[in-house]
Amino acid sequence: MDENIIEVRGLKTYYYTATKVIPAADDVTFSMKKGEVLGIVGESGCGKTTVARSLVRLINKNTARIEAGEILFDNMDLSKATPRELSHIRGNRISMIFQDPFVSLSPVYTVGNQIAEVMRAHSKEKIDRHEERRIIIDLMKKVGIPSPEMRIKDYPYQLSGGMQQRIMIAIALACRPDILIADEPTTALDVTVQAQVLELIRDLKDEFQMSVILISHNLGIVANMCDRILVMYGGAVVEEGSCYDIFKNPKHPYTRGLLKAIPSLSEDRDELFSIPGTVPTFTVPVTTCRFADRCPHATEQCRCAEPELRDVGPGHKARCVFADREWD
Amino acid sequence: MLSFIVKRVLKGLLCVWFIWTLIFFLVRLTGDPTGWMLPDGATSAAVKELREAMHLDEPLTKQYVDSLGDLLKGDAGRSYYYKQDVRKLYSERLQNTVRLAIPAFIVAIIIGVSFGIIAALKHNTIFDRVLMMITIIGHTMPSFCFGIILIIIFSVQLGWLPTFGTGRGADAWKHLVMPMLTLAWGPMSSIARLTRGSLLDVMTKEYIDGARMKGLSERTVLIKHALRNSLIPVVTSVGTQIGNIISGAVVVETVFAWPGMGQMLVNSAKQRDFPTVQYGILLVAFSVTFVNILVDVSYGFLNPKIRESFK
Repeated sequence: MDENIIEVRGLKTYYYTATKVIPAADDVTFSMKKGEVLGIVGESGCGKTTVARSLVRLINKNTARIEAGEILFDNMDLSKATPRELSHIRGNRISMIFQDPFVSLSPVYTVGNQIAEVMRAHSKEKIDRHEERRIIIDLMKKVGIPSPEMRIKDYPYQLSGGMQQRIMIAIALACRPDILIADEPTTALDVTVQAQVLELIRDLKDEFQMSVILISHNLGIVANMCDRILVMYGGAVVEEGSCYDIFKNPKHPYTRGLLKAIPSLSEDRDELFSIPGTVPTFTVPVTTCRFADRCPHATEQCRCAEPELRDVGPGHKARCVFADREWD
Repeated sequence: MLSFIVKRVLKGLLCVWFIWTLIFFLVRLTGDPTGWMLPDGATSAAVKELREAMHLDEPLTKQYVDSLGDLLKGDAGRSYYYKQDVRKLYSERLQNTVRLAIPAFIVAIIIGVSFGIIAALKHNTIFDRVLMMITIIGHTMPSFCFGIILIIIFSVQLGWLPTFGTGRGADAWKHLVMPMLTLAWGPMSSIARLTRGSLLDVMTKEYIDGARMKGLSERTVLIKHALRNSLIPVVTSVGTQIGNIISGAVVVETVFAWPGMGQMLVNSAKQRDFPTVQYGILLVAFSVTFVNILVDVSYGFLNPKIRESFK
């Protein structure tokens, strides 16, 4: 339980546009233990998806590049792995489910076929047809698809969004991966289905003994599911800590802003709180605190240099010069 | 599946019948063929006699019913101009057109699709730019213009290829090359541009990353997932290209003096040779409809949503 299953050190993934270089993931460092659920939260465009995709190098070669950093997994640095090594990892040791199930399954193959594909890609010997069918039906049952014997021949468009996402989960779990990356797995789904899918991921995580990286902009989901949380802003990790640290003792003004923005039933507010301003786009090199422009406590010091991500408690880090201060 | 094909064939026949009916009345609006059949200054009695002999004096509805009845019995009538059975008249011509159109069609598909794939894979490189420039020319330049340029280069300047006719025996391919390329050029360009656009579009789809995330090789991702999905719109357009090829054949056959159906259709329309025009159009309508049925069926193999409607 104590060994790190994956370690990311100083990961920098930059996007290149015609005129500028955008640090979508800037010096991201974290590690994850076996069986842990790690949440990555932040607003749209904060770099959480980039971090997740960088882990398996699923980034567009034409526009993005991993500039620096190490991704240590199973004595291998995935940031330098060959395509062949990556093929062996993807879908087999590390799997991913995507945000929108409607566009994540190929429209021209049956769902059974698409589950079989990942199994065939990673099994050493050829699996017998009947045996394969049995495994697939079993898997579909596990992810909660009713009458899988019939559904196995369905095409994605014949299934609802929730069912399609379950198929995505079945594909991701078919080879019993060590790590499951769930990139906003419920954002595109109805609220009632969201809860079912999250429940499913949590149950299967225990059954398959996986570690899960859960990416979300929804703090409620993260609070329910995660052991540890990374809060990202503008491509950088601004706070890292246990679920308790983040929710009960947040140190970064951005994290506090996010928590304050959650509507509460017990409090009587006329207006919902929101962090003033919008997420700016940064270009390298970044020379101020990224949050300075929207931060209520920003001083000259914040605009001189970017603060370090430093320890503010056991296993709790924040990227703020005033992190030690007690706020209201 | 079978009922889909039967339904499709019946609809196709209905369509062909409709076109034939339309053309039957349209040609009769163009005037009286007896004008050129008799020498200048023929007496009105002679004209009347000829019209009676050709049954042109009868009411249109009777002419129509008789012609349709004959056609169903397998008699397409005799050409006014050539004085022989139009089916015999077309049989050789049809062969010549098929000999031109089928290679042109195959070349257009093979080269078009491969150019499109290469351009998409080498997106934004010099390959892509050059290929797209070539296809823009193909898209915009009329085929007769392209044919004449080919003639100037390969026949007049280099003297490699003959300019007209079908040729015989071992030399036949030399006669075929230029008309075939001229005919293939336009459709090839459309297919190449469509393939490229479609493949580029599919490559940005999330399910491509989904396939990569299964640990498949880039090659498998491309062939099994990207290509198959990107070819769906291409196959649809191939169906319409067959129409372009047949109408293009009329022009190309004229430029290269290729004795095919197109040339004969144009000439017989000029001569108001009703049975010849009607039968020619019937053949064209048949072949376009038939190819489109084939395309529809193959479309179903590619796209499961369409297959649903086969049931």
